[in-house]
Amino acid sequence: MIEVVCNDRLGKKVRVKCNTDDTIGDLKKLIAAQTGTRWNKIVLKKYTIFKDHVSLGDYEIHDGMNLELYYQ
Amino acid sequence: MGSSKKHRGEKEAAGTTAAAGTGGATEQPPRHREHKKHKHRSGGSGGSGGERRKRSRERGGERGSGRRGAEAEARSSTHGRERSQAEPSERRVKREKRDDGYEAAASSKTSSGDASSLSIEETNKLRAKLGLKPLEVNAIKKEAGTKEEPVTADVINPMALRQREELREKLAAAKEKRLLNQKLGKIKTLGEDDPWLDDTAAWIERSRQLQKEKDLAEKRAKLLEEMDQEFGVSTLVEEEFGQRRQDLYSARDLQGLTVEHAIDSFREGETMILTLKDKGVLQEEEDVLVNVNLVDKERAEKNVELRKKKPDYLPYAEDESVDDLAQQKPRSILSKYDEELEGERPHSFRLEQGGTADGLRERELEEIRAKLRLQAQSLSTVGPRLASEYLTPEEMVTFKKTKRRVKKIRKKEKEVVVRADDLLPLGDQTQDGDFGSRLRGRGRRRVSEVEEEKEPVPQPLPSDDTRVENMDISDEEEGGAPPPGSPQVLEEDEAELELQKQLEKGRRLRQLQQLQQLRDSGEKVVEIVKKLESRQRGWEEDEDPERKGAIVFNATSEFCRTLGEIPTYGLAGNREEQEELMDFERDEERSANGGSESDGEENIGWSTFSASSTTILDEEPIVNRGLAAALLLCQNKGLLETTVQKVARVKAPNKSLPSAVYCIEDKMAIDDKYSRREEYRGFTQDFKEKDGYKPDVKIEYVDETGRKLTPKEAFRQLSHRFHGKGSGKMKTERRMKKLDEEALLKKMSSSDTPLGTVALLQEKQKAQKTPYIVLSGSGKSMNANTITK
Repeated sequence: MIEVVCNDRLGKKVRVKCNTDDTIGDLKKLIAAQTGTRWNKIVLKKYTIFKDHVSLGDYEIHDGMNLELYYQ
Repeated sequence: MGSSKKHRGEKEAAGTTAAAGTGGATEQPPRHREHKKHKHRSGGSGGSGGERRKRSRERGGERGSGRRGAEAEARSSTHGRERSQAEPSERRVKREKRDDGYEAAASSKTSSGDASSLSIEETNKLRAKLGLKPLEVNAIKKEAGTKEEPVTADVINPMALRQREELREKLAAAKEKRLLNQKLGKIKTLGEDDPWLDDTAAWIERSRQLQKEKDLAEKRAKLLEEMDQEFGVSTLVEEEFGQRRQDLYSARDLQGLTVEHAIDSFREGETMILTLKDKGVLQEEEDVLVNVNLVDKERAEKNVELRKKKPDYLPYAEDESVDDLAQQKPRSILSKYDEELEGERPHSFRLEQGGTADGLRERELEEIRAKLRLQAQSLSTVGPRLASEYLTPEEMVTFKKTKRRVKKIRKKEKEVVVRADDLLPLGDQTQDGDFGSRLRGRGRRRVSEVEEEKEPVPQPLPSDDTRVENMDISDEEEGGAPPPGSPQVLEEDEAELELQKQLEKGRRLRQLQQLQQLRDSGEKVVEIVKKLESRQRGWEEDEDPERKGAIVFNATSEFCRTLGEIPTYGLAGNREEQEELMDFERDEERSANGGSESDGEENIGWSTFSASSTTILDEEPIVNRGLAAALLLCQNKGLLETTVQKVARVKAPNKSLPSAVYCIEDKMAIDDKYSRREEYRGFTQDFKEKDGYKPDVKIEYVDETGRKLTPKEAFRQLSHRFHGKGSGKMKTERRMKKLDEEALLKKMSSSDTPLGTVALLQEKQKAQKTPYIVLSGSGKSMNANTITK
């Protein structure tokens, strides 16, 4: 279980607990549950936009990493 | 770091209780990040910071966990170097406690607003709702060192690793050697000999031993067989062994195998080796035999065909619609993809009895196909031929000459010798070109009176057409005076009779015409004139009785009445006759009627007026010539309002001033005493009557064309006016272009392409009267009719 911090620099900062083998889509759903937006409107970025079907482990997202939260 | 010192004091005062507070950190670490120059100091206080942390745990109710994460990074960077061994252990203990506490109080953190987070249970609930598996909680705890509490990893000793690898290799090599030796040990070397080779006694011994063993083995086998028989297994065993003998492969076993080549590719007298085609291990399909060389050749041919780039699809290929066997070939859509979708289906044939194949069936099929093809009828009709304008001799034959219906006439033979002299006048008659005219009417002739005299027998008025004349039915002639004194003959030649008839007729006509020609041409003229006069008189005579009896009203007469007298009438001098007539008639009128003279005059005037063509009025433009003519007429009559209605336009504010010339009004120049006198400097107050008045004010800005402006554009307008300068050339051009594009966009039709393609297609459809449109076609269908729109 890792905890990922998502910050959209407009005041919304979320810490989400998830597994390393979760996909980005799952992570987005968890974020959406906490922030109140729709998960398909969320864009996660860390120098590159993360694709929905790749797992967190493949993206080497570790515990405590800060991800940028954007909206589309 | 002044604040840090403050904290130090506070924390020490607070006590050393290791409260299971939230994992809030001190304010110090964030300061580490902010004041990078104080890094050394942060390093120094890092050690003590660790101790302080346990004290500070009770504080930090407001500390966001987000900060903790950020701090962790900072801390890891700065503190990593200074970890003492004591700290990790105690920190690990504390960390677990802190983590527990953190989870418990995590929910309270959500209200902090810094970074919201859910506890594990809540997260698991959410995940269950979303359909994800729950969090793996244990994984992280076992890991040595998260980001927050990094622990030194085990030192990777490369030397030790290498040694281990070497050991492993050695062991493996030794093992191999051992095994080899074992195997080789069994083989006899040259030096070693069996004793029984040289010594007979030993040999005898050996042979006896062998024999013994053989006997023993036989006994054992017998025993086993008996046992098998007991159990009833012997038959099975025999079958097994028996089958193996039978399984010797021979040609008869090849029956039914498929060979995946066309039978034509095998030539007589050639030997070709066929091998089993590769297939997957788990595939249960039957075996297929192929020849490797043939396969390659076929593939090469296919590639050559593909490279030729033949068209995939011939849209108008009307041939090949019938199969070889004279059956309709089913035409599938997109047949070029069938190979890709369904897979390749190569030619193949099966081997028959004894592993042979002779292709007899195929040859038979070919013969049948050829036969059917010969029998088949082509549906293509003969193409259109150019029709000849003249009848061909063949068609002439089909015409049947219709014989004239000739009645058998019993007549006395007329011994009339036909001479050439008699025929002469006939010749003239046939050349007469006067075949009558419609005007004169059928049958009406000037010489009608004369003819009537001449004709003893009243006949229907003969027409001018001499041919018609000649076509009189022979019956009438029969009634005529039979030629006297001619010997009676029972049967006569019909053609001669006819000839006689025609001759007589012709003679008669000629006589009449001669008589007619004797008349003077002058008489004719007189006649014509008289006729004309009679016609005219006829009209006027018609009028007179009308006029005498009643007053006639009609639109034209009323119109003319309104016109009034024409003072210039008759001055041109063209109207001598008419005037006389007019006078005469006027006198008549007056004497007769004495009534509405003006009317009479009018009427007279009009009746004679009608004959004239000159009018004093302008010629009215002919209205049916077009809209322009009609408009001109209306305009002349004053029916049109020519003043253009001015549409109420919004008075636009001043146009933006060009940037070249501008001046800024200086309002501070109004400083003279006299103008300032008018200003009111007193107290102003809102009107009490207008207390409840809350108007809904909506301020709209418009540009010079009347369009409503967006706030941005309005502001731009304002600033232009304020600064006294407008945009430059490029900017205004761009703006104009944008406005034009917007206008175009509005005008664009929403249901059609900009070029009106849909409308065009529909028109074409209507013209062709088909529900479809042929977009393109082969050369056959393109002709002049279809190319034009």
